[in-house]
Amino acid sequence: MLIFAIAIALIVVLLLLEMPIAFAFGIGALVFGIGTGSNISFLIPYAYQTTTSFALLALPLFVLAGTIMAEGGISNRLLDFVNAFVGRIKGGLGAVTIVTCALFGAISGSSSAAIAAIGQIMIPRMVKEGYPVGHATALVACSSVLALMIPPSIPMIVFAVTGGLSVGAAFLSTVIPGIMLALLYIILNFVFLRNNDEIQVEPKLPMAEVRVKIFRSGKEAFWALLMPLIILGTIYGGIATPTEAAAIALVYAAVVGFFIYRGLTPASFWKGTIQAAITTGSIITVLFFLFMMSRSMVLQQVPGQIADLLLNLSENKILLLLLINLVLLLMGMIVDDISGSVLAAVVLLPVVTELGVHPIHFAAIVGTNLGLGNVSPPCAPMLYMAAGVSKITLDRYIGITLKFLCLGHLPMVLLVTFLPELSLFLPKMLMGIQ
Amino acid sequence: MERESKQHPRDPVERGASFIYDPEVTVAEPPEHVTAVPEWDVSGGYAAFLKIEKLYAKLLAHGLALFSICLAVLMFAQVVLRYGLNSPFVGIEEMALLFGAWIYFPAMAYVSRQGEHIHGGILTLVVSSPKIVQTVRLIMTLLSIVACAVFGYFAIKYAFFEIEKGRLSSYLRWPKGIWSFSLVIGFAGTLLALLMQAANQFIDIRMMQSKGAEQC
Repeated sequence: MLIFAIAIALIVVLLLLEMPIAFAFGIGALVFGIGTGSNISFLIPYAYQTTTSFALLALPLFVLAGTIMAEGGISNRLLDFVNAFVGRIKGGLGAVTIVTCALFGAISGSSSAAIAAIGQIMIPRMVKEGYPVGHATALVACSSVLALMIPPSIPMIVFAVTGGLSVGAAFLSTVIPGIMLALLYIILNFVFLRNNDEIQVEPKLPMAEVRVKIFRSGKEAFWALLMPLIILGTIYGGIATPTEAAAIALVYAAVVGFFIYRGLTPASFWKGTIQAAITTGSIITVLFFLFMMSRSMVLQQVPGQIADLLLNLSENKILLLLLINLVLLLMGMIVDDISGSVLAAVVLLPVVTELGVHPIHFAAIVGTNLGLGNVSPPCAPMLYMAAGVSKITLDRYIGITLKFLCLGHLPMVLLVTFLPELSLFLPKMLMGIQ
Repeated sequence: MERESKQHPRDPVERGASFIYDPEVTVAEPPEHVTAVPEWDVSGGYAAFLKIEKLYAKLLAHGLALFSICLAVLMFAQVVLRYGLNSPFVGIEEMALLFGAWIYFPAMAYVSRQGEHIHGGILTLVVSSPKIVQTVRLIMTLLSIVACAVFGYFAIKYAFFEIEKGRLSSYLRWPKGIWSFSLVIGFAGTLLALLMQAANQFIDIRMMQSKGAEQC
């Protein structure tokens, strides 16, 4: 256990010093392996076989489908559609950003893609209409995390594959929390802006004109909005596995991009495919090294020892769940969502199972917590990425970000933790999970 | 190496604001990440080597795109066969995994070359000296090389073990070495990229030193 603690401390230091996450875990696995005297050559076959499992093939396919759809020009169509509903309300543009990020997540499954696609358009637009730039930045960063909660979510695929759970059920576990979080952010956005007189609002239109606008933008966005329905419909209709659903989504995205939206050209398709391979490669590298680290931990029975340690701390389930939330939050602050998912599945899943928490409920706890970690400093990749778009310094957006997190995301984490039905209702109803 | 200086007031992003004066950027601008491909002009043998490396990277990138498309086509064909024609062909899943492996590991090499690995950290938030930042980054790259070399050695050993054993896949009866050889390409390419990155970081630090000496 001491060697494990040293290895983890070393990993944390290396991560804080900007070492690529994959190699930091590689060094950790090396130190842990040598320290415990285990044969590290056994780690490679395990990592290789787990990485090249059939279920994980959903990852490159979903990443590619999202990239192709984005290249095809969905962002503006989605924005116009949502804007047609709430564009004329004070703070409506903020609500548009939140809902579009959630919808974009349902198509691409990636929060960084959501920031790149939505943030680039919405931050300047919000600032132009009088939103404080810090507010716009924080809103995009916090909303981007919704992409991790609305299926198809890449961290949920990874968590399910590592924990030996149903990918479909893991996808469903974060749907209700994701929608609730989006609503919470919309409310907070309106509350925070209620006294801001700088914000300009589009002039009110007669109802008939609004209806025409909604119909027109809805017609444009229809094909993009159909994609999540196809993915979820094929998975939960029992038609296809998540990997096959990803292939269907990809073919659909290509057809829509080439022939309906016509935003896709052979050159942009090829470029998007290379970009998707880069994204896949960066995720797989992290997974490969993490699988080695997790295997060496399992061989040394570390998860069992951690479970014993935590269970000996207290018999109070609420206290232990709060502690696990804290561990997940810290994990999310230091590592990315993919690494966090693997670590949670390996280290914490045995603990929560002992506590009587349903693994699919735990998937939702992990998804919600890691999302929070992704926008919580010091290592808040999504927050810094959004700030990169708006080009402002930390002091101008940190306060409002913390307000969104403390009043929005944190209460959601607690709700998900202590109300299991929020995450289990859909898996039970649609997949018969007991 | 000529880099565009960011030490100037930036364009206004707020209504009514003239320019945003950003003290953080003005006092200490974090240095750009140096990757396997130098951003400065090189000459001689290194330039020739970079030309060859560029060809290899192009081949890698296009190979990745091709394998990704092959994977998508295969999986879609499987969907059609299974649900449309009710005659699934399990060999397709094996072939899909083959393409998967040939995307994952060569992509690892390409990602290393492009410097696109996922990383976090607070280095540039707490250290203001560009030279120290770059030195720490060089140390991190050297440690990455150690991790990659050790596990790369075992990965390549494992791949060759599979090849020498002549194991065959369950359905297609193809040599399993075709799958595991992707590990060799992945780790060798990653190691090459990291070595190039370390060399470039070292050169960058040296250039910072000479630039500092000139200013003195």
